[in-house]
Amino acid sequence: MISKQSKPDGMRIANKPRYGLFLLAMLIIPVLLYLSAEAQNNALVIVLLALLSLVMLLTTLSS
Amino acid sequence: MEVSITALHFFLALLPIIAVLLLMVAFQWGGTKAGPVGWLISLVISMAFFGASPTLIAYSQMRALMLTIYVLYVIWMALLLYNVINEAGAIERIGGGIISITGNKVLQLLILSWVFSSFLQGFAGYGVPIAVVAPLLIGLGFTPVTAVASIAVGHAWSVTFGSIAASFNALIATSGMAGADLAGWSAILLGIVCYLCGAAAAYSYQGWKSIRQGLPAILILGTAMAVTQYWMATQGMWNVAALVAGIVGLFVSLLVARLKPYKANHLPEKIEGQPTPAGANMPILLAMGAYIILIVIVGLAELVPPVHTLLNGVKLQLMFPETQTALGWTIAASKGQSISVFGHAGALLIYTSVLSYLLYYRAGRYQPGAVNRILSNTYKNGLKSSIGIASMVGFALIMEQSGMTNAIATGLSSSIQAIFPIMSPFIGLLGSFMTGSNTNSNIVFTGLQKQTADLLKISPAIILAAQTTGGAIGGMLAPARIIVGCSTAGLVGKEGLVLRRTFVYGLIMTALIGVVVYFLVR
Repeated sequence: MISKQSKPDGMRIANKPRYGLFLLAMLIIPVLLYLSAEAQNNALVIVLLALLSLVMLLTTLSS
Repeated sequence: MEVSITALHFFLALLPIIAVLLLMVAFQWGGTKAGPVGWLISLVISMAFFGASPTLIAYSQMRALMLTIYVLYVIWMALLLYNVINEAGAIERIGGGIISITGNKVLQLLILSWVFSSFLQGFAGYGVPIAVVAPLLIGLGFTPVTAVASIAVGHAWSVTFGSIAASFNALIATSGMAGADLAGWSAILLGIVCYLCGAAAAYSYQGWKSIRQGLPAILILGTAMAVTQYWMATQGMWNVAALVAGIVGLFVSLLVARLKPYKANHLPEKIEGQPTPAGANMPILLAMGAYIILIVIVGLAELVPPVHTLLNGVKLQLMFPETQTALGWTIAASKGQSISVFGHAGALLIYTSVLSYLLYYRAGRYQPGAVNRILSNTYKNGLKSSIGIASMVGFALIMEQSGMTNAIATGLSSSIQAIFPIMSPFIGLLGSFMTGSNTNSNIVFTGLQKQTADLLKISPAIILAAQTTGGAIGGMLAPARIIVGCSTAGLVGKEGLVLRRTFVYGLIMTALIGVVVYFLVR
């Protein structure tokens, strides 16, 4: 039986939260949201909001 | 347009705040984990119950991004400066310098967390005092939680008139009242908070025992700083009232250290075989060099008009259109947060970092590879804090733009008119808690507070003083600020431990101010 402590290093690194990516998404998606809102492209606004929600969810789950 | 707010709206608007508080305080989640949950809850509630459209949310998130960049600019550069100083061993040396002034731990804590941090708040706000001073206290042997909590609490009284009185100027601008009418009452309430901040900072160390030990210092230093701030503010010099009060506090600290209870120096004994700290042989003036550079740069940038104008020539700012929710809550077309590329506090910290690096480099204080360590430590500490701040500011703006924050404030002020003066500072505190900024709290709630004061025929000057005092206190329990403070104290992800303490201190202080205001307006 493999204990929690005996997880190989690679697995721990793979599970490590990708904070840089999350932060980048939190900084870029609002810009895209703004541009979409200015262009009155409601469909794109909704897609981007869903994407930002997913990023927020993943950030919490990965922390 | 009048917006009808029901009890259900009031409680729904409170949900994201309750959730974040519960997660951080009870479950000890960090801001990185709790912030996104608050964001998701506020998104769902704003769209489902407050009639916010996707377009409104889109604009709110761009406003939030501008505010986030404004805040992160300070945080990342404060971290950079801290690492430049720390890598040279100067922080250890300054800690040793404070010990040589007094060996009394309570006075050391008071001088750094209450007086020195308030002096820093005088010109550089939004978490800079915590980020800069926390490592000094940790270096003196205080636990990281005590260090961050005591500073978060200690400098709160100087927030309104600090940062060149940005928050007070926002109060003047949004109320339409004369600064002279507001300055006196604001300085009186903040003066009371000054003593409370000193007492709370001492309490955070060893409870009542520390308060008893620190009482003479709290009374003398509190009087010196509160009276100076009051005098400066009422003489029309509110822009530098907190800064001058901090300077006076530092000088009086030297005298207080000579009082009998604090006079005995207990210099640490050199233990055989223990390595000598990196900055042990550094002249104290050199160790303080970075802070002296910071003071000179900020002084030049803020107080010399031609330099100020030159540095603030390039500003990033966006114009946002009017938005309206299905419930009728309207946000007028307005400009978003302005970011001065070269005159922002973050830019001033870059100049200070570069000059400080050159100073310590020429003095031979760096080991090989110092630049890499400075940059990688800055990145590691800044990254996690930044996610917490981005999500917290994001959800604060969803709440503000969709009318949720207004629903809470309206609910508080309209349902309990008899005790409105007591609730008034709590509304200021709420604004600060949400945005991490006394200035933003004043911008959002000054209109509501003044309107309610006029309706109830009570002094708007006192109520607005209560608003900005509550806003100043609110900074100590605002998750966004706590995250900044924890970033240089090695407490990233453990912000809940600090919040648990500052939350109690903040609520007690606000309640006391509420009672004072209640009797003042009777």
